[in-house]
Formats: sequence, structure tokens, C-alpha cells
Amino acid sequence: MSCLNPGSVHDATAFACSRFGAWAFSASDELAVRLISEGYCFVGDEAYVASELVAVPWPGRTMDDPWKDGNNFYQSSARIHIEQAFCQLVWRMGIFWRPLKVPVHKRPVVAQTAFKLHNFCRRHDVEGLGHLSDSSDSAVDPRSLIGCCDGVDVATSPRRSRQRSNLRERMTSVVEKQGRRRPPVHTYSN
Amino acid sequence: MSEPCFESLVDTLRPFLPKGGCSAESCVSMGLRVFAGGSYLDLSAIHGIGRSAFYNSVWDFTDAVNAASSMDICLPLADPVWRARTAALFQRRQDSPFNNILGAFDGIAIKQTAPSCSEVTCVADHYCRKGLFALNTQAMCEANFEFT
Repeated sequence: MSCLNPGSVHDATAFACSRFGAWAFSASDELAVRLISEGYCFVGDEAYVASELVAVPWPGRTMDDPWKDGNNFYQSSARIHIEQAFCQLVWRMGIFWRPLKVPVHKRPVVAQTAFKLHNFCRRHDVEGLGHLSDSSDSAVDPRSLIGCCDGVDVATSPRRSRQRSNLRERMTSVVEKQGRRRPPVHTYSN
Repeated sequence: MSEPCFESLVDTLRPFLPKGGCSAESCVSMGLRVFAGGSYLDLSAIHGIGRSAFYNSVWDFTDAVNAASSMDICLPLADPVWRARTAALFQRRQDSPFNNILGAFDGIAIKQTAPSCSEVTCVADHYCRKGLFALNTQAMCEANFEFT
């Protein structure tokens, strides 16, 4: 986690300023190269810039393309975890219910402490997640997401429609290969 | 927080809390209550200590949490077992076609009071688009809702 930036800073800028963000975008060390070669990634919302380690949804209206739409839907499902984690954090830490009043230089420390306490509570008060950690029946081998990175440059333009991401295209192809679309919305009629 | 969880936290933080003054249990109790939104008026009365001693205990607690290496927020990317387990958990929790996701990240605006001109160079920088003074915090979590 990183809380180095004031509130007016855009999420993408704040993320790029964080140690993890800088590492993810440079992707220059051995570990980053290994993660990319094994097909792993981290998911963020459309505020962030796509890269080979950061998966963001396709921009704009994607209802015309069911596979792009499916990719966006399943990425959104993964992002629910961070939204729920924030909700649990704020619900648990009442110090966030009101504006922080401690001196400015201590506010990042207070925030960091709250995040650590949240993790501690999760580890010690939650049981029964062990059965979810079995990876034996994974439907897709991560290595199947490996693609050739040559020929597609990740644009640095802030315009989302111009951003190219091999990762996003590979993930969309996985959705298409498995035929996974956004589940239909059922309406009830009398 | 359950009693065993509290005792575990006290045991974790005890080596990092200062000797003397109030007990480790009181210090952790006060710290937890402050982070849970408790007022110093109630807590100093409950624990029978003055305002300055109360705040000293809370900062001792905060320092201890940040000093305890077992409570560090870590991202063990180099661990292949962790990678496989985390990716599988993301996939199974949401019945997702992807089993290559190691974390989801986002930002949260933590509300704060307006900083004074003596504390920051530009107060307006701390005013966010949501119409409040805030601290932009970026965080990433695993599928079990732990921040990494």
C-alpha cells in the first residue's frame, strides 16, 4: 500500500508514484520478466494505465463485442475483492468514519497502521478459507496466457482508446476460447 | 475482535511496546479502540489516565504495529507457491476464466481535516474531486481480502 499522495492526485499518478507501481511499469527486473512470462497480472480499474503486468478493462462501450465485454465483466469480478476489502477496512476502522485530525506527517502512519490491523484481524478472525486454496483443478494454465510481445507497443498516451496491451488481448482471447460471456440479466415479469 | 485474537496481538506487540507506564494490554486496548473510532474522553476515563498519557500510549501502539515485522504488509511475488495459490483463489472465488490474477488494486480517499499552511506547501493539493480533504491511498489485496 502507498499513501504518499494528497487527495487531488489522480489514481494513476498515485499508483505510478508508489514503489509497486514504478516496478510494475518498468518491468525491468528478473522477477517482473518472470511474472510476465508466466502470464501473471494485477487488475485495476479503467483509471489506471495498462501494461504487461497491469490488466485494465477495455475502454468505452464494449457491448458490441461479447468477448471484450466478457473480459471486462470477469476483470470487474476480480476487482470486487479490493472494493470489499476497502469496505471491510472502513467498517472495521472507525477512525476513518470522521476526517483524520492527527498532524499531517503522521496521517500516512495512521493509515498504514489501520491497514496492518485489518490484515491481522483477517488472519486471526477468519477461518475456513483453506478449502478455496486448492489449485489442482485450475481451468487454464497460466502459461497459456503467454504471448509474443513483439510488435505491439504499449502506448504512453493517456487516451485509453489508444492504449495497446498484449495482456488485455490475451485475456480477452482466453474469455473467447472458453466461450465465457457476461451472464444474462434476467427480468421478472408478472 | 475475539479474545484470543486480542491476546495474540498483545503477544505480537509486547516486545515493541515501551517498558513501564501502562501495561501492554491497556496500551493495545486503547490503541485498538482509537482505531475503531473511540473517543479519548471515554477511553482515558475507562483506563484512568490523563490525556497526554493516553495519546502517548496510542502512539506507542502505532509505533509497535509498524515495528513488528510479522505485521508488515508484504507481497511475496517471488514465492511460486503463493502465486499459484493466490491466482487459483481469485479464480475460484468468482468462477473466473482467469487464473493468472495475483491481486486487485484501487485507490481510496481517506478523509482528513484541512491541513494548515504551515504543515503543507499547498493546501489545495489535499482537496480532492469528491469535495473533501483527503489522502490518496493506493492498495492491493488478495482474494482473501488481505492487503498486500
